[in-house]
Amino acid sequence: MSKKNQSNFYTGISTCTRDSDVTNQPKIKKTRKAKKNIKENIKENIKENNKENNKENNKENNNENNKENNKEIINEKLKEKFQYGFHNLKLKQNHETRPIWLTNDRHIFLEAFSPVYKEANDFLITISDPISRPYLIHEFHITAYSLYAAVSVGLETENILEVLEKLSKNYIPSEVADFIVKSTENYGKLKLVLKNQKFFLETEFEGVLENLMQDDELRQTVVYPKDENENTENEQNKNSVGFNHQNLIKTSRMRIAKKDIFGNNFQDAFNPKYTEKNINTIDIDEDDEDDDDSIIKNIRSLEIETKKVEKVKEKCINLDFPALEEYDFRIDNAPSLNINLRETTQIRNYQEKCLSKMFGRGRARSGIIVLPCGAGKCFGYNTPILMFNGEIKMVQDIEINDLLMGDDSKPRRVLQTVSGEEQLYRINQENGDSYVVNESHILCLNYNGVNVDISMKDYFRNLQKEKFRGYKVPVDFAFQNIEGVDPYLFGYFFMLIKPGMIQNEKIKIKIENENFRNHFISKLKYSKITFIETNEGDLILEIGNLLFIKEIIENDGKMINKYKCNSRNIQKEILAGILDCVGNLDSKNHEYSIFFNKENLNEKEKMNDVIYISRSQGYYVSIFKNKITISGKFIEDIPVQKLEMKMKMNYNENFEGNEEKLNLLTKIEVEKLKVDKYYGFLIDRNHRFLLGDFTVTHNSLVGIAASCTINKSTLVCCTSGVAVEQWKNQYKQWTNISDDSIARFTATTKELFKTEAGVMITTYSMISFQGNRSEDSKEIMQEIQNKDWGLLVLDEVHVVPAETFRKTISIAKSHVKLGLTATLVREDERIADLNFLIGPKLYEANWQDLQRNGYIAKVQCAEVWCPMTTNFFNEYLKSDSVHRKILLFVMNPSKIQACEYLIRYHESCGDKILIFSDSVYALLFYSKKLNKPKIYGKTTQNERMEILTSFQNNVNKCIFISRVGDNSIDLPDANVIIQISSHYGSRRQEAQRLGRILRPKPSHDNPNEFSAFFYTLVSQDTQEMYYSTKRQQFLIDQGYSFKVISNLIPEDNLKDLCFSKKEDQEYLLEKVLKKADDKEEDEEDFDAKGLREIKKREKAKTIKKRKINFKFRF
Amino acid sequence: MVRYTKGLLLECDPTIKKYITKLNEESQEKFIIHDLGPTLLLINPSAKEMIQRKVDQLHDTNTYTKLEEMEKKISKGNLK
Repeated sequence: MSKKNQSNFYTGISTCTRDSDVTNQPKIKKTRKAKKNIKENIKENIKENNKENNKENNKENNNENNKENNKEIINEKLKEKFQYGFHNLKLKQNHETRPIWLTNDRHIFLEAFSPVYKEANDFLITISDPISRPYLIHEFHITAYSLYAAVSVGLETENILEVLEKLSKNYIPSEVADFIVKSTENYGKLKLVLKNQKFFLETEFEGVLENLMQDDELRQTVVYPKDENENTENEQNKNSVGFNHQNLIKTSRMRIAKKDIFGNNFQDAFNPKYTEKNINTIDIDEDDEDDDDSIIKNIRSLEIETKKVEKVKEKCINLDFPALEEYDFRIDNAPSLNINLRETTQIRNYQEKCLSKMFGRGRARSGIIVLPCGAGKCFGYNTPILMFNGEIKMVQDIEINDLLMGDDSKPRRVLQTVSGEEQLYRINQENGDSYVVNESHILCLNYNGVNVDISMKDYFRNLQKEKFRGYKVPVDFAFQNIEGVDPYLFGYFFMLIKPGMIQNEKIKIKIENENFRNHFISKLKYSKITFIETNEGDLILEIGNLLFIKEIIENDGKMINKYKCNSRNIQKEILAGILDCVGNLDSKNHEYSIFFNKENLNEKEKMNDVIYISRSQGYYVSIFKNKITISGKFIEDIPVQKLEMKMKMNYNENFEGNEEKLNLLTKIEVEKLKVDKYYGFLIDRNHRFLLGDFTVTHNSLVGIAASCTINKSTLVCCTSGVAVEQWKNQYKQWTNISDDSIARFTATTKELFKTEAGVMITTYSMISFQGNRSEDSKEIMQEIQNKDWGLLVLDEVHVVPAETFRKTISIAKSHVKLGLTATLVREDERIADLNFLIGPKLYEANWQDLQRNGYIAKVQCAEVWCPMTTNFFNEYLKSDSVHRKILLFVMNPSKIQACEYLIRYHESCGDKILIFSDSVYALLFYSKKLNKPKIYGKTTQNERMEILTSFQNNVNKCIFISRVGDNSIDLPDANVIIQISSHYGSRRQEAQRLGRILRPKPSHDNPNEFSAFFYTLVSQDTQEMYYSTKRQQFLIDQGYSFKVISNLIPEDNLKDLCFSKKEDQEYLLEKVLKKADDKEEDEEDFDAKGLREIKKREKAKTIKKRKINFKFRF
Repeated sequence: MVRYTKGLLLECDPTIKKYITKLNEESQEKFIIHDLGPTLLLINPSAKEMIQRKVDQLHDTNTYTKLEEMEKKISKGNLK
């Protein structure tokens, strides 16, 4: 293979996922040949022309030559990079059965279709960094960092080489083997330790520090003791090569126990009296101090400047002496935090995987975790399940795409059904139906007032079983039209009508009070029921052939669904009618009660319906013998008339000591059944995680679990005040942390924890803020600065500017740093810096696997090409300002048309659409033109809420959102995204926007079909094409493919869309140009950094050529 | 009197045509002989090379490739 081809092959791997490239090739027509005699005549002219042309060409060629030179240099470098090529990789005999290729430059290509894929993948993810994971071939890279991470979880050099040898199709190149040996042999020899706010390099081995000190840069970072006499001398010598650095290396003897039971000795080791100045005086008095449990080691240490820590780390790696930053938290005698995860907290298996990477070998190490997630539930045979329409279905009858009722009264669609055999349990609720579940079922229970998810297995392991309560939630059914039937009257008659009654029977109703009488008569009149008043004031009425009465009679005591499952108000009216007919009031206990005859089947059925309605209203219902009592919160809301019971109650008084009634809790009892068949289903959203942001919730659990493991003071940094609150709630929910040991530090809340160790949650901006601080802020900052934090959790590492980051880390000194993110991409090319700032990437979830398992939605990504109209393109070519160009390609009329077309199409499919635009001008224009609501920086909080709620309730299906939607707003669920303009080539923005539609959703027919759509509208032949492709890179690496749509709008539809007329287009152009001439550029639109980037881009040279869009013919 | 000129018929997208007419306006040697419609141009054959190069450049600036990013890194010396 030639070298050029190699490089193409190389890049081809990650770019090959684009479905099609240039699809819109212009047609080529043959032109007629010019007649020969004409040729003769013009020959001379041409010659002259050519001469002049040549001159011009020469000038250009000079410029070109320079460029060519540059190109050559770059080519040389590329050659260097690809010098190995793949031709010398020797295949093994039975290579077909092995899953990976291992190249000389330590890249690994894994066949995802191999039968041993899973095992190979698990191994590779441990020893290398995933680079790109499309459908069939995954690419990994072995780096020094990935190897350290591998060694630290217990793999040894020989293990790594052995397994690689087994997996690889080709013999391991010697360079790679050398690299692995070289990178791993020095691992653990050098440590970076934080002690009392100072950083030390430590080693047990002779010569290591001396070696390092040979490096000029490293020598600069050493801290020189100030109290010594030779101080001035040191300063002078600092820069000279012959400087005797050895004096600075402190050697200390320390005991290292074979067991983890000492603590104080560790500190004593740094007591000055043990410190000796001269490195040559090392003697081990083994006889003196050695006892059975400990050995003596000489620790050499060297203090380094706090500010230069990351530089030291980088340097050490380059010198092949990676400084180990492990934290043996169990022997540190800093005050312990003493928090534990609640026994109920469930950690998902991939969350467990990344935690095990962080805490391999019982020590904590810094690093970044990249993750997102979902839910599954299983029940035993014949467990009734409430469907969204109010029906009850048995679990085994549930099918894919059925709608279930969620605890927030929203539908859950069944994505998948499963069944199998497992140990079953019956959950008997003291108040309520019992149900059967399998062993791995996740129960939703209430534990000390907190709603938790707990698996059956964990429930049995839990010692405080009796503290768990089942909980119920009120259910809201959708309103159903019951056509003129009065619900109150319906309820009344429902109880009144006994079996065997015929339609024309006369019924006497005793009227006891005036209020009821008036109410009842007005209702009768409304329903057009004839009645006669007797002298005593009672009513005699004839139940006519009204439809609803017919229905009651015909259904033999069962209430029809349309009444039973209706909106809350209608249910309340029905309940009031029922109570007025047969209910009794116990005003002392604030209860209604109904007596019924158990033997009478008809009455029993009726009672079931009464219980159903009452429970769905959220009332507490208990059944005792032949009496039903209804009580609970808001019982006075039932609009009863006859019973004078406008109950006014003070909940605290009445329900004191009876929280179960107030919160609808119920005692549960678990009964073991035999191993039997179970049926289950996977639903599209887990109610537990519906509340918070999808990824934040789950990532936070990893952080919380980490801080519970380390059990020392923890500092959590997140991006916004809202996130701070979320983190606090998550801590309270998942752990047993006390209020005293959790503190928030934000612009509005400034707290310090009262215990010795605690959890502090704050924002990056609070910590890195440089202006004047208030007194209490200063105090807290002091506290943060002076503490050796056990763990520093950095949320959303991908969004924080590198400088803020550095500051945060230098201010808050911690033993271990944990970075959390869903998308690890940065445009400022600082992603590599995170290695020094935080640590290596410990774990990265595979998006495609998550998608396959239904944790995230299956998304179709598409790039829609919108041709520039000639007028717009003309102006685009003419304009020099970047701003003007951007406006022109964003406002391209065909783009507006495409946008309108897509909105129409998806609205008609019932989809919900979010439209993102970075340009505020375009946002306002589009939303006005297409008459859709918008949210941008200037939208007030109230307006936002209104728009978001109406979106949620399907009142409108489409919102325009500016950049504010990228991070700060918690957007509701949607399944279509259209991007009309974006922030240059920001891959992060692209990934974040995609994240908005990643929540798993039901597809219409088949779970394997795409359920979400991600469109990017791109103006053809403009810079936008470049940025669009660049933005896609991250998602392509995650295995997404982008479909190019070049002819979106069918010809016939074109004239229905806006700007189909030439005049309109011209008018638009005028408007846009006027806007572009306005010097006052919206700051919000384009920041300085972006401008710099685009300028850089303009200068950049290109090598690879695109297919040409036109051809010449004679 | 009848005059003959050797010409090259060029067919392309309207936008590219716009770009070529702009090139024509900017260059001192006018190479467009006749505008034949929204997608057709009759040009002087000698300008062929130049046009081809320019259009390639236009496409290149609008095309992102991974290789290119690598180059950038190399030119900055970031790639080992």
